[in-house]
Parts: sequence; structure tokens; C-alpha cells
Amino acid sequence: MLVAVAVAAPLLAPFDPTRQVGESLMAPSWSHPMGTDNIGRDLLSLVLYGTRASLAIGLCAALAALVIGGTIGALAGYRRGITEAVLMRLAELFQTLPVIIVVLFAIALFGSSFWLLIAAVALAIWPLEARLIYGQFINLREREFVAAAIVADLSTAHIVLREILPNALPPVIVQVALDASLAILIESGLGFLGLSDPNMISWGQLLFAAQDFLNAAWWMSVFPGLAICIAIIGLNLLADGLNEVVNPRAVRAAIGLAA
Amino acid sequence: MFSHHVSRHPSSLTIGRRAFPGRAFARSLAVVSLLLGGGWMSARSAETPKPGGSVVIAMDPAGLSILNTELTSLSPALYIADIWADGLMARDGAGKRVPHVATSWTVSDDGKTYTFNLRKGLKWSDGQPFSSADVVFTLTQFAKYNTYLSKIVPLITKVEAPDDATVVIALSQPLAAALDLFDKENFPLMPKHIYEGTDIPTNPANRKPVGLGPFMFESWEQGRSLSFVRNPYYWDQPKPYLDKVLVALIPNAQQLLNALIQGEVDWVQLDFSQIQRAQEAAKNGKIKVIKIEINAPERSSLDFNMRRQPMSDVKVRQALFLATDRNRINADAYRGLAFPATSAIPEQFKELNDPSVNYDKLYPFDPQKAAALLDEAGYKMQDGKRFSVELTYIATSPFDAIAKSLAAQWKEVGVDVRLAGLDSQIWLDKVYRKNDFDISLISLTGRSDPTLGVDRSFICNDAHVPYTNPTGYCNRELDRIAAEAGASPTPQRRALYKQYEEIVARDLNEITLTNAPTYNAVATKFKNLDAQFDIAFNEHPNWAEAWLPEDAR
Repeated sequence: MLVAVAVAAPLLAPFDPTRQVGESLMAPSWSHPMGTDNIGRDLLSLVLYGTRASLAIGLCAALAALVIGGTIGALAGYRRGITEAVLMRLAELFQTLPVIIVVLFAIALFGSSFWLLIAAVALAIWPLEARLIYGQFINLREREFVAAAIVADLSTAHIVLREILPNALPPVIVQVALDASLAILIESGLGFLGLSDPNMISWGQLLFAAQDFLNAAWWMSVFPGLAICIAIIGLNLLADGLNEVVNPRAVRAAIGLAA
Repeated sequence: MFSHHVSRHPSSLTIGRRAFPGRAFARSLAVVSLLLGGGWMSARSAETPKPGGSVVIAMDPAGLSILNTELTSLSPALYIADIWADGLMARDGAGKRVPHVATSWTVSDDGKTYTFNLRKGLKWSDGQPFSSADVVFTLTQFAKYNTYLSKIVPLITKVEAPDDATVVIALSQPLAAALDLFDKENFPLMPKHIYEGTDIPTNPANRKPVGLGPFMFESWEQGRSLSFVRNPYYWDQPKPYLDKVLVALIPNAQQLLNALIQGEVDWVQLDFSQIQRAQEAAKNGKIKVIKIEINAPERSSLDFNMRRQPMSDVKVRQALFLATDRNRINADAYRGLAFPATSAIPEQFKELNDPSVNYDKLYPFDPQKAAALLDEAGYKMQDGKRFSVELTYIATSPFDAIAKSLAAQWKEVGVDVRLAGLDSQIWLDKVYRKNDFDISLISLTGRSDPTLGVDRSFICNDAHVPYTNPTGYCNRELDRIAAEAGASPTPQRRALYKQYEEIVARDLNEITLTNAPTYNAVATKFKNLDAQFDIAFNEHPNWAEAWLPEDAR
């Protein structure tokens, strides 16, 4: 549904979100259901458009983390030995760094832009994927069908990509959904600190501007905050649902939010 | 309104009778009233001040690392310097000079020689004696580090102390703003016995200062608070009445006001986003909002990098001005409390600003005219867009809101704005050191005279000094007029500044968007606040005048 909102934002939004369409700090009314922000932009339109940036960052960062973490996890899990030791220690090293600090550091060094944000968030969350895939690979590599493939003299790439990976993916897909929600939270956090890319409309940015008007204009903080809540809860429910689909017999709980 | 003032500055005031421009200028400002609102005036009576109690003032520390304002002009350091430091003269609420460490001063007929008569028997806050040698030392040793004194240093031919209580300064040519430069905000006095023979920028006293102000440094808890206690050697005994000034460091505008409303702190300088709420809260009578009527103008300004296309085209700059709704920016970013600037010379300088040059008439908000001018300059609309520019600013209030407003307004005429809201250090480096920007947004203080706060935006500048003309604009004619205006008596200055305003209005290397006043908020439990806030320009309360009744402690 969020995707639908993101795609349809231009149709749903009553105004151009970058335009000053009314007075500033107007309370919610029929013409501006969520009121206006501190420079007179329509908050409903801003929140709707914010869905795009937040979801794009969430999904892109989660997928990027999947690619990086997946490659490293697969290599470590399949190769073992030195490769395993080095790659997994590297993953652990990244895991010990607090996520938000890594991202803040990257932004302080390179400035803030959409792609850099994605890179920074991906950099911060890839070890989650790496560890998960690594665990799956260790487990699956000892299975008979892998031994059979090795005996059949299939290439390593074939064994990794065609034999093991499909079997390793189900729990990973669940993790991607959770990672996406984590990425949205990180972006909101950065936006709230005023460090997100100002050219993009995101929920965190809206909250940043709302900080000085908590008492004067509650709508500026409540609606973007609600949007973040809904997105995070939605993605977590999606992860639960996926978990049930891919692993219907599972009794144990889904992997929780790791940060 | 001023008649009730306790005469805090005794009778020894014998300012030279010459028609020195600065003085005439100051006198002219005396018409404006000082204080805003509040029924507290009636509560004032002939009570005698009671010593004791303390005041908690709060501010955003914003990277505060040293307290010595000869070396830094960071706002929190300036707020704090009024507490511990003092100088030759100060200003009252009408902008008139009042004696502090100097009891009187004279200016020679040719405007080149300044003689200051100092108070006798003064002591520094560490008990060491103060003398004219300290003034000479401060001027000769600190001036090279002081942003504002750099204006006068090349003109000084002689600094002498004929006796312990007299200082004579001779200039090679008259400078209209010379007395402004020697006031306590620009020229706080520093102790020779602490700094002599040391490396001045690294002297520990920059963090543990010794001064002549009403309070003396006690402690500094980094990032949390500073504490100052009563200076027993203060020149204006029995002041100060309070025992202590605590400085709470709070980095957020809203939290600052919350702390004031809840009675946790007693004074803040208000951010514009908070003034309306402060006025609302003031209705309960526990706090009041004070507007500093004659303030150092805060000019929110746009600098165009004229080394780059399309900003190098004057029509583009004029078109962007026409496309800017300054009333809207005032209403949104300043909550209607500033006003659109009318020219390069701020309105606060009443004797110098010529109202015939008026940006409201020259560049009224007119998107159609702006679009036509951009067409004329060869930037036609293609797919709803003419060109892209980057607008860089410090990512805090009010710049965040101004930048987003400008982006929305310029989009209407087909100018696509990429916003680059940066950390202050990164922004400073980008704009002033590297000149790697398209358009930059900042608020600049006009201080107490155009030569101190305004010239820097327009005159030729090759140096990469922060907050000085980063646009690459250089007009020798304007430089000549600025220099002449700086050395002329007031009546001639106005005519020169009219030409100055006209040249800037035509060339627009920098657009002055708004001009903002200064608002303080203070707890009303203190007495004698009218005398405490009898200040102007860059001054802040020094807490020597206020006192606290016993039942309010």
C-alpha cells in the first residue's frame, strides 16, 4: 500500500509540495487537511511525497545491503578458512560500530545526497545480511545435494548461485523487509538532525523543521511522525507475513529488529 | 521614558565639543524608545538594591571554545564577554556613548587624535592594578587578532600613555567610526600582566579570563555551564548586586525558551521561531520580552558568486531579486518580526541611510517582470526550467526556512534551486575560503556603523576572510566612495552613502533580504531591569544593574 501511495503521490497530493500554497503554520482545515508547514507548504502533500523518498531509501539501502552482505556472507560461508575468518571478522567489526555514528561520520566527510545516504545506510546494515547468509551457507554446504553437485564437477559459481542460494534465500527476504524499515528509521533520524539531503522531501526532514514549532504547530510533527510509524509497522508486518509464507511450519519467532 | 534611570554614569562626562560625526550620529538615535511592553514598570519604586542572589542566563554554545572576544566573535562568547570584560565606553539604549573604564574622552579638531582619560585606582579581577599600559598593550598586541580593529590598525600612527590614567591614540587620517571601534564590544581590555611575553592565541587566560567586568570567571564545565562570581574590584561599586552569574549551555532554541518559561533560567536571546511563543508566555507576568530598539542590524543576505554563469549576468541577479517575495520570507522565517531591507545601508543608521534608494520600489516582488528579464538575458524557459543554481546555507533556523522559501519562489519563474544546507564549518570553508558556491545565504551583523559591518560585503576583497565579500565583485569607484564616507563628517557621509546605495542597488553582488531586530526575554523577578537593558547595538546585559529581592531568591 505504501508503494501505491509513493507511486501515486502526484495524483493524491492536492498541491505541489514545494510550493508555498497558503500562509505558514495554518492549522489543519478542509483545504489543508494536515495544515501547512513553517513556510506555508501543504503538509499533506509533503507527507505523501515524503513516502517516495523514505521508501526509496529504505528499499535501495536494504537491497544494496543484501548485495554486499550476501556476497560476503556467501563467500565466507562457502570458502571457509582464511576467507571466512577475514570476512566475518570484518562484518563483526562493522557490527560493533553504532549504526547512526557510521552514517553521521560518512555524511560529515562527504556531505549529504540521496545516493550517499543510501550508501551510508547500506554500509551500516550489511553485516546483518552477511551473518544471516553466512549461517545459511554453513548449514547448507554440508547437505547431500551440494556434495552431489561437487561430485558432478559443477563450477563453484553454479553451486553457489544455483544450488545453495535459492535454498538460503527465504529467511533473507524477511530480513530485507526488516532492513528496509531500519533504513527508513535511520534516514528519519538523520533528517531530524538536519543532515538529510535538503532537496528531497522526507519525513525526517519534515520533523526537523517541526522541532522549533512543537508548541505552536503540533500538526507539523504529528503527521510525519505518524507516517513513519505506519511505514515501520507495515514493513514489520510484511516481514512477519513473508516469514509465514516462506516458512509455514516455523514455530520460532521471526528474526527481530537487530539494531 | 528615560528620566527614571539611576544615574549609573556619574558626572565626569566631558566629551569633546567638536562636531564629531559619530557623536552627532549617536545623538540622532536618541529618539527611539528602549523597552517593549510589560506592566512591570509600575512595580518599580525607590527600593534600595539588596545584594545577593544569582542569575542564570542560557544560550546555544555553538562551538564555544574560548571566551576572549579580542580573538573570537562567536555569539555566545560575545554574550558572555559583557559579564567578565569591560572597555573604555559603552552605549545606552538610545545609542549614546556612556563612560565605563574611560571617564571622558576628547577628539581633536582634525578628527585624528583621540585622548581617553581613565578611571584611577582600578584593579583587574585578580587584584592586580590596572593602568593605561594595559590599554596600550591591548591595542598593540591584540589588534591583529581582532576582526573589527583590523579596520583601524593601518591608520594608527601612535599609541601613547603619557601617564597612568591617560591614553592618546593618533591616526593618519580621520575615521568616522573610530570611537565605535574603541567601545567595549569591539575593544574589551585585556591585562598586560597576564598576556605579556606569552603566545596570545594559546594563553590559558583565553579560557579562564581576567577582566574588568562586574563578574569574574569561576569555572567552565565544557558543554554544560559556566560560572562567574561577583568581582570585588569592579569599578562601579557597590555594583554588581548579584553574587553569581551562571551560564547554562542549551543548544536548541525551543528548549532555551522552555527553560525560561519554567523558571529554570532567567535570560535568553530569542530565536525568531520562538518570539511569538515568548510573547504569549509573557502574559503571565513572570517573564517579559524586550526588544533592543537600536540593535546592530542583522541583515539576511544573498551573495552571488559572480565568477560563475549565470550569476555573472546582472540581469539574472536583478531578476532573482524581483522573483523574491521578501514580505513572505519575513512572515515565515522571521514570523513577521523583521522587515524587508530597503538598501545596502541599514535603516538603523538613520543619519546615513538615504531612503530615496528603496529596494521595495526598485525590486518589488514581480515574477512576470523577473521572467521577462530572464528571457532578455537569454535564459528561456525550456521544459519548465531555465537553469539550475545551488543555494548554500548553514542548516539551522532561520536559514533553512529562508532557503526553502527562495527555492519555492524562484521555481515559479523557472529557476531550479539545489539546496545545500551544511554544517557551519563546511559552509564557511566552501563559501569564503574556496569560493566554491553559486549563491550563499547568511545573516550579517551591521554592527554600529557601515564601515564596520556593511563595507565588508561590497568592497574589493581578495583575501579569504570569513564573512567578507565572497562574490568576486570589485568596483574601485565604490571602494573610493566607501573610503571617503568612512573619513567624512556625518552630513557629507549621507550624500556619499546615497551613491553607495545606488551602486549596490544597480550591481547587486549581494542582495539584502531582511533587516532584523534583536529580542531578549528575561525573568521579571529581577529589579532594575530598565537600567539593565539600557543597551544598544551589539551589547548584552552585564548583570551589574539588576538585583533580586530576597523573597524571589
